[in-house]
Amino acid sequence: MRNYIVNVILAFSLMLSVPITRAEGELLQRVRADYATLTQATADFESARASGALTDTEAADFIGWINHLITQVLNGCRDLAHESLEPIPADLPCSEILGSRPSSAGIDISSERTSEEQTQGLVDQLHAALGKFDEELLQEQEKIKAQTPRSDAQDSSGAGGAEGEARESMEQYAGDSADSETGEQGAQGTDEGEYDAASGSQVAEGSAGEDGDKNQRQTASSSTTTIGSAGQNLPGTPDDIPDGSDDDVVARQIREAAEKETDPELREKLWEEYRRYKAGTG
Amino acid sequence: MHVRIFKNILTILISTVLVAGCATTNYGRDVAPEATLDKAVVELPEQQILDVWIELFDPGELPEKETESLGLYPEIRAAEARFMPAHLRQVMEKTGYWGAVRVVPRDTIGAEVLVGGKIIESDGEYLEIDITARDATGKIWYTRTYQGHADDQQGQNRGEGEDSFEHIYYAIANDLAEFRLSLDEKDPVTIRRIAEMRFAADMLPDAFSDHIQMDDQRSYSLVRLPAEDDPAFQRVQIIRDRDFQLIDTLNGYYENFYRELEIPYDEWRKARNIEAEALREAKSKAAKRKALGALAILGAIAIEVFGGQNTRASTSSARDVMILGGAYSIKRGMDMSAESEIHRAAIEELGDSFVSEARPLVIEVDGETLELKGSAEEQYKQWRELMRKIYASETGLEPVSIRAY
Repeated sequence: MRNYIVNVILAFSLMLSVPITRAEGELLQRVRADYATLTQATADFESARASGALTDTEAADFIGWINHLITQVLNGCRDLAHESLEPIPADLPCSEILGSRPSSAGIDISSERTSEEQTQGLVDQLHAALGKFDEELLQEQEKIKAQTPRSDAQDSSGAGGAEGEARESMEQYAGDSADSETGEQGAQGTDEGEYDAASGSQVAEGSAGEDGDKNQRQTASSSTTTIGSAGQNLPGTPDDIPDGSDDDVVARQIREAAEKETDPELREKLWEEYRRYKAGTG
Repeated sequence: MHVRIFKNILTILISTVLVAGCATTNYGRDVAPEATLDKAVVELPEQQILDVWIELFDPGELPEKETESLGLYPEIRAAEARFMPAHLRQVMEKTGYWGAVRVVPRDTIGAEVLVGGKIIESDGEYLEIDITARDATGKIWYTRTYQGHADDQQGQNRGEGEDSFEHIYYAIANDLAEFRLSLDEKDPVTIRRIAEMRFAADMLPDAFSDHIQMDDQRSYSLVRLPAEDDPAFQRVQIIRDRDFQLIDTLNGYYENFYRELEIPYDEWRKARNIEAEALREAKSKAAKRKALGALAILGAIAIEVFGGQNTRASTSSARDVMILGGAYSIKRGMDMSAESEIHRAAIEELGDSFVSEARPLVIEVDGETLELKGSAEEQYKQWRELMRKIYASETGLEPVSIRAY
């Protein structure tokens, strides 16, 4: 049996120099791929055996694997012969295989083997398939190992990458929000409020860098910017409104309400209220 | 006339007070008691150790109410459905009650103990999940709902690798361990054998489907065991080892996903909790302001209507202040309502931002695991076919079609 396999391997080895052209059909591609794998496997086997690197068990596994590939190529050639109206391309060994294999003459090769040999052939195929699966799993495991989690990489490298910046901005944002509390506290003009105003602008930059949708984040952070911002007029503030540096608590609250109001009509009424209040207290 | 007007105003103002009161978020749900993790104090004998597979959770549905689903997205749930089982796995591994604890895609067969979960509610502050545990015999250990609030929103007291909902994971792990300890000594052995035979029957039904039987309740029982030197069974065991290796490899992907998501997920939850708290506070303050303003105006009107002439004369200025102050207070309440919109927008933005981080990770881990599992299933199919041929060749029996387990 081994002689038979080796003969087939040698026959294929002679065809190593045949170039593999671009396949047109899926089946053709598959047969070519199987054949290429087979030629490589036979070369590897010959090389390993010549150098004495294979144990008996390994050699048996290897032969099982090659046997499996031979079967695949053989089946592929049969399928091509049945399904294709065109002649099988000359770079594939199908004509030699089909012409030389007993099966093409309608003789079942398995009948020439003993029951034990048949079973062993199947067991070899199973072992070869398991060996192939092991290799695939090994490759997957190496791939997993190579994939250093990005979070770890960022932890060690600080805020180098885009995602790191995004995370940093989110963390910063959480901190800012925790500090900012509500507008009422900020309106007291504490140091805390001033800190919020400073960090609020950082947040806006961070979010813009993250996904480009900075409008919402800026809207969200504008409350912290507004808090404790007495002394500066925001864009959209009417020209006649003073800078608010001398606002008392009530004036500042009215101003803040006006600055936040999105309805133009209501906003104008609030500014009017602010003007009246300032006039009354001025 | 005055009385009628007063009644109308009173009705309106009381309505305002009531509406304002209702606007205050009624927060505060049942909280699961804090739990410590039960750990095995003695090493279990090898034959008593059961492996646990935790299925990816069912992400469940987002709340229908817009106020409850604010800033929550299906993509976040999808990430949580992969993250939570991975964290539960880590917690269960610490207990020492189990063999290998692994995360598996849903509907993976072959587990000795299978834990499934469904996320009922999860918004970073509050978590509610249904957990179902069953074993290879088909026996459902229990289905329980676990719920609770994040125990440390600031994360200052948490140990490394611990979750805001660590107590919930502890409770799940403790219950599983408790149930496991309640089993008879022979039960784990039976569970393991049935798991083994179910795999064997799935892989080579010709040889092993009659070793177990399933009743109408989908409970499995052992009919007989194969001989230890049965070559077909030995080959099945070799394949089962591959199956375990496949599960281990899949867990490599889930572990990477977990580690990559851990920090952004924790940050999202923290940031969202802060904003949600601020939103609740703003809404509550707005409601109170409106209510106080309404009461001040109400008081001024009451004095005007019911007070004597002297009272009216002596409180004229005070009433003006009450009305003006009340009106201003209502206005402030309205401003604060506007402020709550800002927090609402912030919560949505945080959700968007987290989705942009989580979505590619979910796609990546799903792609990798599906590809690997799909490839493995193809190979399992090939192995099954080879196993059947080998079995037929060894025994001389024709392959028969028997239901697979």
